[in-house]
Amino acid sequence: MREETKVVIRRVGFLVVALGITLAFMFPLVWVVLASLKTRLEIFVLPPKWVFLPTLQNYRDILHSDFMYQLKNSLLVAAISTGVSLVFGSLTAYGFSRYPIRGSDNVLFWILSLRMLPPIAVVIPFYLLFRSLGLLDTTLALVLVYCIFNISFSIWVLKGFFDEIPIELEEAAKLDGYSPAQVFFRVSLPLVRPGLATTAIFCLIQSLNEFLVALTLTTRKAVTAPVGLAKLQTFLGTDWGRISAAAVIFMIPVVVFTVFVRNELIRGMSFGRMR
Amino acid sequence: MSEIRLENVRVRYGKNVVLNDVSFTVPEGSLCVITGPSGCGKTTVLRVIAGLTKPERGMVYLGGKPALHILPGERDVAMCFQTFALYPHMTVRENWMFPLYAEKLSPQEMARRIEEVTRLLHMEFLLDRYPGQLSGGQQQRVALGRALVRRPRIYLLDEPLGNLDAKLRVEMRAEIRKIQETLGITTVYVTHDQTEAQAVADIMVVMDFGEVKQVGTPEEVYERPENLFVAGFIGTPRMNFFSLEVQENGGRVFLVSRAFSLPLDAHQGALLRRQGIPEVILGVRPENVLCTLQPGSGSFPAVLEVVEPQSNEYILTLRREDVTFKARLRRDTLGFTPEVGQKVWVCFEENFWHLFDPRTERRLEGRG
Repeated sequence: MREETKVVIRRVGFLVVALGITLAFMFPLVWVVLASLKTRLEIFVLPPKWVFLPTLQNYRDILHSDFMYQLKNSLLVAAISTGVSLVFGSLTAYGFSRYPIRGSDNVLFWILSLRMLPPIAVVIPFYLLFRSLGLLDTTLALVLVYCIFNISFSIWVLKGFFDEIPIELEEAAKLDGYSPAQVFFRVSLPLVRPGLATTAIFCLIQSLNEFLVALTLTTRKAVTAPVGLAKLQTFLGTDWGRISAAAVIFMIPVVVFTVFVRNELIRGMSFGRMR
Repeated sequence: MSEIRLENVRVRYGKNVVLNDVSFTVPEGSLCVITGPSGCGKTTVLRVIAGLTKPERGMVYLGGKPALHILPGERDVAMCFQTFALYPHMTVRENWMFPLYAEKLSPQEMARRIEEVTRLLHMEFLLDRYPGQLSGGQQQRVALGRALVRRPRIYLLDEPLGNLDAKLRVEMRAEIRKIQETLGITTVYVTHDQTEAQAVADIMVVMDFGEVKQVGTPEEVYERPENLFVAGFIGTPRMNFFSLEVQENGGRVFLVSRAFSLPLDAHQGALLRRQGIPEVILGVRPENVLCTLQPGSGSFPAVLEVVEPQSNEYILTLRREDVTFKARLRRDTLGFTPEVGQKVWVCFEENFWHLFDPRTERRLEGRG
């Protein structure tokens, strides 16, 4: 066999395997999308129908339900907590990375331990706390709780990125006459953009997906999408078509954001070199 | 445009003493080259002058005023880092503009400076590239450019030409010298390349293990090395050293080894006798080793071991008993074609002997 043919075969084989793995992971997603376009009867047909006349009825129902309001809540909470986490996370991480702080290892571990906290252990105290503060069923309560988890996460991830920046870059900027704040905003921060993107995605997903705390701290006004989704399963039965449609809508923001920052994300995941 | 003075500067990183008692002065408007083997503290000296490293002890004066409390950004110092330290998220042009923005120059002046540096460093077609898209030599030129666009009081250049090819290096060092002289900006220039050091320096500072070994003009450092280290470090091929015993014979002083015995003149003989030194180290530069086919006064026989032809000279490795040493001779005045295994007569040019005390490793005063 000729050498080139071998190469081609190897390439094709690799692609087939990769495609197979991707399909396996994509399958639930495909299933949800298909289910959202089926009628109630078609969903339960065995063997499953792959070709059918799609209907948008499920989406119509969802768009006119409480779910859209809950989705708005979710997005709001996620966006604010992510934003706040990035601001505080980057500033704190930079401080730990660049300035000698006595006992910084211990403080960092303490910060990380907040992240290790199992939510189930703190959800009751949180409930009592927010009840006495009169913050039950408010977006603010959720933002605050999510910030606890997200800030500690941001600090750890971003510190790694700041550590990667050669100190000479900042020294050069200092010698060029820039103040510490200017050095941070004009040199260091732009260089950790991949880190910011990675952190943002993870914070966003974490906040959007969070279920337990949201379920406990909200009743009506501040209910978020995951809680709302679960509530579509009622005692009177489960409308899988509508749940699927809601799930698809719920996925859209994360997908859009991920596509938006995908270049930074890939660099961030592979912990980009700086020079 | 200001004098730099370091007084007894000592820097420690943890337990490592990186600079020990470093003192020297760079007069206003002159170019000082710091040279020495790697790890000797050259870069740390620059960092101390820039204010990036705080000395544990000692003083730094810039323009005659104590400067230790002045922040790096307020010292009006431009530095070219050995590691380049280019901003990876900015193009070449933006890298150069960055310090100019801080100075709040007018757009016309900025454009003029950028254009000047571009021409100087041959970067015409690369202005809109990012550092990651440039070769090592090009990155180095960007780093140098970022210092040269400024008109500070002091330039600190840390191996600014180390990654360039030979031709560009020679061209650039002349350009740096020209700019520096025209603008009269006090400059400290770190290099381990001696030719470069000799070519640009007003003053040379030779360092080893965090200590200043000698400060002087390039000529002084070359012609009158103060100690064994400087003698061995400056000059290629390096100086030949011979351990010799001091002996008196019939009123004259001789330097004696198993291989040869050299008579000293009365003046130096008296000096050694007065100081009562039993042994000396004699240093002779390869270009001061003369070879002939006929014996002459003060010459001794040796065997040619290696012959390395250079552009217009030979580097010869010679052996006498268990002592080997090198000679550097011009081809046109040699008078014969050297061959390996050949026996020649060698003498060391008078007036170019460097005598050192083996105990202190310092130069013994006298002739030379």
